[in-house]
Amino acid sequence: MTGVLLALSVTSVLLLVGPVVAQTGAQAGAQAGAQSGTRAATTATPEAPVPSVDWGRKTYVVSCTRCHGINLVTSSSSHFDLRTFPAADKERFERSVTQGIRAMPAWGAQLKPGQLESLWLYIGSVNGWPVTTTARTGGTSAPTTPAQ
Amino acid sequence: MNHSLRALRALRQSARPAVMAAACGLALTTITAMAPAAAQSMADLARDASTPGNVTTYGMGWGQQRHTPMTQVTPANVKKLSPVWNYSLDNSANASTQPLVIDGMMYIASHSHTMAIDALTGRQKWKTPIELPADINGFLCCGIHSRGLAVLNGVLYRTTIDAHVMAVNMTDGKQMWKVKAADYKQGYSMTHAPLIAGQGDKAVLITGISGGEYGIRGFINGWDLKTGEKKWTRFTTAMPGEPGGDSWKPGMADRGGAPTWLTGTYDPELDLVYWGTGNGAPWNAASRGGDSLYINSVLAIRPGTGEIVWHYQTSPGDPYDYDGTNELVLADLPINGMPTKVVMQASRNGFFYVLDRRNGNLLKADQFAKKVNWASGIDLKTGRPIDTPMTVKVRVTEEMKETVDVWPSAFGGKNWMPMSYDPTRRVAYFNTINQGMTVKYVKQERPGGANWWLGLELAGFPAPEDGNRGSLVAWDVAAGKKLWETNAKSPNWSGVLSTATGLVFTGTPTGQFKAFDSKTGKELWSFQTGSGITGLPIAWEHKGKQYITITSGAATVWAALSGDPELTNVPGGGSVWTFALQP
Repeated sequence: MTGVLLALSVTSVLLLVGPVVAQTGAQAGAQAGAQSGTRAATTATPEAPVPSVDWGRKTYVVSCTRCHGINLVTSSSSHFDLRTFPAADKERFERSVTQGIRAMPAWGAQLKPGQLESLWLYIGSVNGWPVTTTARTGGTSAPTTPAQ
Repeated sequence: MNHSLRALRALRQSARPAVMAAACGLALTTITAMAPAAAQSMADLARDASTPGNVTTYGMGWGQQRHTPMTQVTPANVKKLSPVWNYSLDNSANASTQPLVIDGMMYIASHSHTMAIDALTGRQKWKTPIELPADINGFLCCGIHSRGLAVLNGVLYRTTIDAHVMAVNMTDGKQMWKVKAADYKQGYSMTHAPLIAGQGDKAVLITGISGGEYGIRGFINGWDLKTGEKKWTRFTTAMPGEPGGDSWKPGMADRGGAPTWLTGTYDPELDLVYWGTGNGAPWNAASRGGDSLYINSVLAIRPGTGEIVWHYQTSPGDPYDYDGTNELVLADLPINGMPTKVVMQASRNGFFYVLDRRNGNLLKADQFAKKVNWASGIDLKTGRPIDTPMTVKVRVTEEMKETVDVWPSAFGGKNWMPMSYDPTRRVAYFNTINQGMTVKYVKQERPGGANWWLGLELAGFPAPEDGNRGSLVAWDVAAGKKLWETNAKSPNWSGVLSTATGLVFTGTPTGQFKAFDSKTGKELWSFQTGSGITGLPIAWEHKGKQYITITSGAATVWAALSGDPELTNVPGGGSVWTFALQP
């Protein structure tokens, strides 16, 4: 078990936390501009960041790891094991994250446009879900039976 | 801790006017409604450790020795210990709360409720909910905890996880006052029991703050017991221009952490409160620079004013999350043949510290953790750790290319679960952790919101070769040596209780409440509860019969994050268990 954990960890080291990407395009542009004038012209136009596995990973590391474990590996049955999350039930994922469920807090007010989709992409990438499932955009899923 | 009779008499005398003043200060119409169920005075709190009947303080005494003089339960009869009742806490948080017991009533704080139970039957008398915001759990670094209560003159005092302090009428559970200590949306939370300390009518309610992983600025508050008015604030990071202000990089101290998230101890003779501070924010030491005062320190504080009388930093400039918040147990010890008033701590950093509590002088610092690779020892002359080459490098490297394996991990050689101390044998009993962590330091801006600010990549937690991630240890404090060590595959995430009859009680993360022989560490009794145990065992007595109570219920950050394979089949669900000898 430990060996498994370590093996996962080693492969993920370079992918883990960096400066969090929880900021709007405008903020990112302003910051980049302050740090390097050359980029200011190209990032000044506010637009929603494109959802990505990498953004999802960075979000996961600063906000989710403490309960759901490193690389989704948790050994606590008091915290949901995201390795078992059904790939076909994106609506349940979005509802759980934004509204909270049991000990899971409501993250809706904290999330930036694209961030929830990024988390979904990241979880799918760790779990090896088919890309066709994970690439669906939010808000159009058919209603599903509440799973809890 | 034994107080002299003279000091006790002085306390009794000074406590009486305080009660009178409290009564006179109330509006006439409310006196009946607010009449105390029992007249706990400051003298009652001072006596808590030596009186086995009631439990009126967090720690079973201001010195937090968690040792009972009770005589009925012994190594010879402990096998007859049986459950008397079980009470549901109706949640799946950590049941890490220490109940109080006063004249046959038990008072309990969970994160969602305050409760009163008939201690003999387990039947609820009242239960008062606490309203909490829907996003609050995101601001809790390490699971949902509410660790207990303080009590004085018929009023219960507690903190809430959204950083409020409140007073509750012991008789009916009704709220008397509630004040906001800090804005939870800035990363502040509260999970500890308050402390009541001070001389006579100058006694105040003292609380700390959590949030070291969110970039808060730590503080300790003194509150007016009657009104909730804030009397003082003692910030625990030193700003530019203040003593210690130059131990930070510019601009880092005002978000520099040093949270004060566990309950302090109190010596009424010296009139000093001892309170620990936690990690710097971010964990990345090179981002903060210098010692970062007063992170990871023991502070001696004057309860009337909040003045820092002395400080001792266990982990200067700490990069490893070795909070100095672990319980600061008070005792009288012979040091070099001289009876000495000491304060002791088994620190997260793996060393057991003994300080002269009059002045903060370091007397002893001995390694108790099985594996320590960040320091080769503590220099008793300077009081500073002797860094290994790894730590020398980590302190100055804000961005790393490779990971390092650090022992002990951020969980520490021991975490918050408090020890017991037998003042007769002069032995401390505590639960240890033996696990490393693999980390790589990276520069990180403070993200804000409910997001961690560590300044490192957490890549894993290597286990020890023998697979024993924890142990229960008996520690000879004066000698600085282990007397025995009972290994466990998973570390016990529970407090310890010891008895004058030679028993040590603690709980396992897989739910067994156990009794050990305090002389040998041999397991003598075990009872399977419904969840993992994160609670703090207490012993109490009513109508001539002695009882032991523990809360069960685990949803720990250890289980979530450490990769410990032993805990995958432990359900959540909090409840209270009370045990007594059956004929």
